[in-house]
Amino acid sequence: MKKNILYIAMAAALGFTACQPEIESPISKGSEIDLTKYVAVGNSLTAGYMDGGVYNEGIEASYPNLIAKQFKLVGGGDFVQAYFPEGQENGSGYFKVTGFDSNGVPIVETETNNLAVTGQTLPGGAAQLTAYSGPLPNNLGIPGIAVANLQDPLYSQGNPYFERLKSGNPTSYIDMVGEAAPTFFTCWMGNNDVLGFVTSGGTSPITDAATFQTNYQALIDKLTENGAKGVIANIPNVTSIPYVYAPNALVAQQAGGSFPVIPLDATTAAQLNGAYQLAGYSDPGFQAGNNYPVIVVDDPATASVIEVRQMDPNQDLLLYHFLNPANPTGHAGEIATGRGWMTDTNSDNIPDTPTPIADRDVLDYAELVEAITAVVTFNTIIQQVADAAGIPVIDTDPYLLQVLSGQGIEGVQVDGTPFSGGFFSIDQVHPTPKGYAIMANIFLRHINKAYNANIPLIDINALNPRGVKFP
Amino acid sequence: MKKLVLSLLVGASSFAAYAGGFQVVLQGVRQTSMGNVATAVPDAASIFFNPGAVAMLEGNVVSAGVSPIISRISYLENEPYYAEAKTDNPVSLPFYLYAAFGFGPENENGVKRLKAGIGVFTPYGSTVKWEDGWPKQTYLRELSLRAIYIQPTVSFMINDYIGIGAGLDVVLGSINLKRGIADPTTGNFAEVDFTGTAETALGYNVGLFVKSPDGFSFGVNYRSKVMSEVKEGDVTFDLTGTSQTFQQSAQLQNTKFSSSLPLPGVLTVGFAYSNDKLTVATDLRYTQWSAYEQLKFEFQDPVGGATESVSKRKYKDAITVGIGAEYGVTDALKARVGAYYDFTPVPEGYMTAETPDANALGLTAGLGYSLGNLNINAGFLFVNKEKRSQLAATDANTISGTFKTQAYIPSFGVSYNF
Repeated sequence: MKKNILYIAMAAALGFTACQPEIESPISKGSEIDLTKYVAVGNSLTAGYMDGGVYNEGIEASYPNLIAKQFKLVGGGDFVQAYFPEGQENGSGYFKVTGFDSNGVPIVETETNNLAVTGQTLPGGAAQLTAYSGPLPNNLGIPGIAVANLQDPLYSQGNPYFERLKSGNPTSYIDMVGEAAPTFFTCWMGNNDVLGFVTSGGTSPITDAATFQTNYQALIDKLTENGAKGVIANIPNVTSIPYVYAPNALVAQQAGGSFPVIPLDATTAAQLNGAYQLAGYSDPGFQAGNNYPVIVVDDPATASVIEVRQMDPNQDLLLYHFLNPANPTGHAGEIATGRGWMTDTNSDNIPDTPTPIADRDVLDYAELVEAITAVVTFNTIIQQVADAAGIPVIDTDPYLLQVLSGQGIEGVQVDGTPFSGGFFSIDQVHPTPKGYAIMANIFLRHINKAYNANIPLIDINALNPRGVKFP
Repeated sequence: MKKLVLSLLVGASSFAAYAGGFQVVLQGVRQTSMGNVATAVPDAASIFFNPGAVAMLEGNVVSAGVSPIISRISYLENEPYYAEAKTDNPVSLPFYLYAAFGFGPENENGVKRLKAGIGVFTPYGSTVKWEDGWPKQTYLRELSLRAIYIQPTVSFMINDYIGIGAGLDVVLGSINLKRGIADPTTGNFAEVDFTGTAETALGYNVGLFVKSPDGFSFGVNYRSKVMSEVKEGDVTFDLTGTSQTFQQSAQLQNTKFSSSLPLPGVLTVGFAYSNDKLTVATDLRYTQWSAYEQLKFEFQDPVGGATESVSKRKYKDAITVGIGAEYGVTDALKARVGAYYDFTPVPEGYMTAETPDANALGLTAGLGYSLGNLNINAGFLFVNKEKRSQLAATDANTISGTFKTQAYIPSFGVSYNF
């Protein structure tokens, strides 16, 4: 006995018997869901698209990958993602901040090294990306895909993010979902059925409601055909992204606080109206006093007269690509120095060429209303389809509004300010790694609540996923 | 008698806190084996436990010992995160050295009535190192807190039954603390390091020992509070992997800091009964932890825009009760056993990553073997702190969650009587 005590003492001195004390953890997935095979269905947001591209850091930061890691803690299965091979980790390329100008405004450049671009062009003109060679990923997020595309096998050959999964093997998205055979899913689809319209200033179409209904129903039917459970996220309001709400404010900021106006006397106003009409535009309606920049309202290829008017900065929203200096068609700062009415093309200090802001660079008020109406219509369809399938729906817009309010979300201080807000990446549509971690927690909260689970959430402050990367 | 000089372990040591707060009671292998009960049992270690009992030692004595602390802390974050973490604490090595010599007139048994001695011991300290990347690294990555007491002591036998004693504590100390700082622009962490050496501080240790002819004894001991003060500590930042944007906005320049930490006063009373074969003893220790009201760092230049950081601690005075026994199996072999219960001084909400304290039960056992004048002692202490959960108090700058601490402390010592 005493020898034993001595032995224990000696062994303990060498650390052999010093066990780690245990604290029982209450985490559990509960009994209602099977997390053996979690599959994430969606678009760029699901793929981890970030800073205007898909690259390995963004794929790693995707909300489905973060959710899957939490699932693992309660017995969830492996989660495969379509990473780019070593040496091509920058995938499609992406925007990065390389410095700050003298006003402290970030300088944005495009990453062009270590890309996965093959040099080939796909049908429709997109640049092909290196084919993915692993097993079918659990993360089926395809940037750009809309509900309208879900049943079209040929779509898989024109979208570079889809084509790299199914190169030379035309497959509809819904068939690929069937191939994945989830036991549990998240589905965040439908944003692009209206987002393409929004970011193109109303020049790309909104999906018609009947197509949306048919394809969305087919998608949920496929996801649930083997009894899989999951959660569905709906479409946030299009004005909840800085791509749409930020540019007017940025232009005002650059102009010293309020949106720039164009002061004209009566004679000049009349001359300019004449010059516009001579150049094939409608009368922009310049008057004596303060005028606003001119926007193209509608630009059909066949029209003999291009319809223009002065913008109302309270209702007509400039789009971020108009300002983004990394975008070749961007025009940061020019709005205050003449663009929007006349440009001095031959540098003789006399404005001579009418240069209205293009239709694709501005979401005018009518287009904004059209987009918001479409979101409401699509969300109604999503809710009906989900209710019928017994799948809970996450109403996403309130969470984005909470982000924009700057009052903190998921224990993290972020807001909707471009670059420094921490939630939105450089492309001003897609989240940063920190934003995706917030999204993952929102999904996990809904999963826990809907399925009586106690899956641990991500302690975002502890993980410290980055916001926009600064030099 | 020849004086034997032992080769003694001296040097920098630091200790996992295992008694309440950051108190470390490991100042005698024999005493630790008996539930840390010592106030009414004369021994070389009485220099620490009760200078009043030193006078009762029959001859001269030198004694030394070491107690490697193997401590483990587990952490579970509160809902909804439930992140788990554990410490990666290095083994810490508290030690003690005692020497006491008789002087002056002898009593009728030939015992010199005046004793002079010196003790070197380590009653406060803490070593905690959390595993890399643990969820609360911005509160603490690692801490090493050291205090070394050097105590010249005199003790006088008033008569055969009463001894009194006093010592002057000269206290040296140091602190090293590391924390992570989150850089949101890269997702990496910077590290801030506080390193400082305490000014030499003074305290005292007094005691009274009384025994009866029929084997009963009583002791009372008071060790004073000592303020350990760092005046010119270094604040150093490691910014590897962080962005310039972050470095500029976070204002992380190296600077100096000052801080102070109270090493609280301790009052102990003890009773013992002893016959030829058996000693049974009990102690009640009262530690004046309420001295630890707050932890304040003042910075020479602003750190992150602030010139000071104040974290409330609000400790309460706390008691420890212990009981122990020693049995003479043979003339040479002694077996020891004991237990103590340590009430935590830390209020709910004020547990920290460096001192996640809770009520603790200590179980002890040990052996002593006598080879003539040389005594060899070995013991083992197992400390089991209660699992404890909290919601962090808003003024404590600490963390919510559940902690559980256990420590395994073997100890080895020798003493030589002459």
